[in-house]
Amino acid sequence: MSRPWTDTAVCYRHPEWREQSEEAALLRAMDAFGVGQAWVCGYEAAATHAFGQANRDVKTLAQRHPDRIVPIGLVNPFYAFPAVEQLLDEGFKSIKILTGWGNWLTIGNVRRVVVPIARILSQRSLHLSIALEGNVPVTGGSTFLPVIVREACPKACIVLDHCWQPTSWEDYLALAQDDKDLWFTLHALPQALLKRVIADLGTSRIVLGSWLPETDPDLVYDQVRRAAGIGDELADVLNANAARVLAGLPPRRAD
Amino acid sequence: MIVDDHVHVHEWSFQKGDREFEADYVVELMDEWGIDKSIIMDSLAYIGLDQRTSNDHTHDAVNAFPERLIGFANIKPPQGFAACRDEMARTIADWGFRGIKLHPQVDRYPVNDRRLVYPVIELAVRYDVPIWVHTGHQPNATPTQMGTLARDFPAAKLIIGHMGSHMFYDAMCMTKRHPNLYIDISLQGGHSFATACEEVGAGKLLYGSDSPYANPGSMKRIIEESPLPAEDKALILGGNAVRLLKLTH
Repeated sequence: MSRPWTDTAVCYRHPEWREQSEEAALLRAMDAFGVGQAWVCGYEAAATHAFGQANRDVKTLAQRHPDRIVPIGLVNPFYAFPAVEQLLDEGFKSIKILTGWGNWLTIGNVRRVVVPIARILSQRSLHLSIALEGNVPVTGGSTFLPVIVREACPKACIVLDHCWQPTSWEDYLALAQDDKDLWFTLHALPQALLKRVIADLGTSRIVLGSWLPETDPDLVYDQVRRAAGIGDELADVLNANAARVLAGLPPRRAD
Repeated sequence: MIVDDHVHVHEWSFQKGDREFEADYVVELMDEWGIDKSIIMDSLAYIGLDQRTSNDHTHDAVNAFPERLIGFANIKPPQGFAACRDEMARTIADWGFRGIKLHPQVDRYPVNDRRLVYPVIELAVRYDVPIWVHTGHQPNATPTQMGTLARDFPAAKLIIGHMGSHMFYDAMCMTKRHPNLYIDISLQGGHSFATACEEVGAGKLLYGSDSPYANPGSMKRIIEESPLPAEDKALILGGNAVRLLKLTH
């Protein structure tokens, strides 16, 4: 069993694996798989579109387990305000943008709805999480969303999440060269690709996100540990990185 | 001058002997739609034909209609730099081809691969010819990877083929960021074309049809019927290609 580490992407009431993502099941899995702290969003909203309810459920869960659960808010981008400010006032630590939700993602809409969210988060020293979900399914493209947000908010703390689609990683790595402040959430990947990803990114700008119950967190952890060629000190690295993200800070740079 | 920046000869879906197989058909379509010149490249290279034989086909077509057709060489970096260098010398220096075409998707290499691709780009820069790249497929052929090339070769004239296909927003972001990136608009539609005009401006867009896959008139009509000023339409329909290829007549 590894030292407890931080899983930065966990789903409460996942619409496809509901039973495995109820409160007791999540906590059991966290214990079994070595996850000390989980950043949880109310992923049910991806199916129900009831973002308010999903956030209230996550808030309740976090209040019951304040040492284990960090609440992450979800919003319908078109009705993001005043919901974003309310969520942050209530203690949510970030807003996650679901790119796979709805048919809404255009360059214009990113400027209209995502950039203002990024600005609010940046003002409060919090991070914006962009769940790329492999690719942007409706309008294509892997990079325009973070590129536009970065252009508008040079100091924003941006995390690319749910980068599970192997074919998209060439784009992510190209983007990583241009934007050294970008954080990446690693998910299960083919091992050879993961080795290349770690070789390119290093360990200073990664966090792990299993999207439990989509993937067993210990599998992701072991994959990354092997790819990085280090031992259980990986947990310390991941916890330190996660703490920086929660504080809205960029990755530590070697250069 | 109207220039179609992306046309194929020797389309694999036709048989030799069919009229669609020959350059005459390309020129017939050009006449029908009022196109002065077309940049052509043989497409048998995309089903495994070696670059040399494929470029011979393009050369035959250009020789048949030297005033109408402009050759671009299919270059396949996985065949090794020596072969690419020789082929670029043959097609560009000896025959007067005006650019090269890369198809990283069919030839299976990341277009920003340092070992395979960078020497080819360096050589294209020395020849001062544009590099037309098929894009629209992860993991090898994307607008974002083109951004890496543009950043590392600021003197290269790089064209994002098909506007990145479904990744057209990525294509716009990269083209806006890098002065030496251009967008071929073939196979796109009214929305992406209009957005690209707003985002990157008419000076960086090239009219292309991907004929005979698509009718050369479809995209041309979208441009002509758009609310753009006449001078912008002229740039997209040919002015930018004339500038990039240094065409004099």
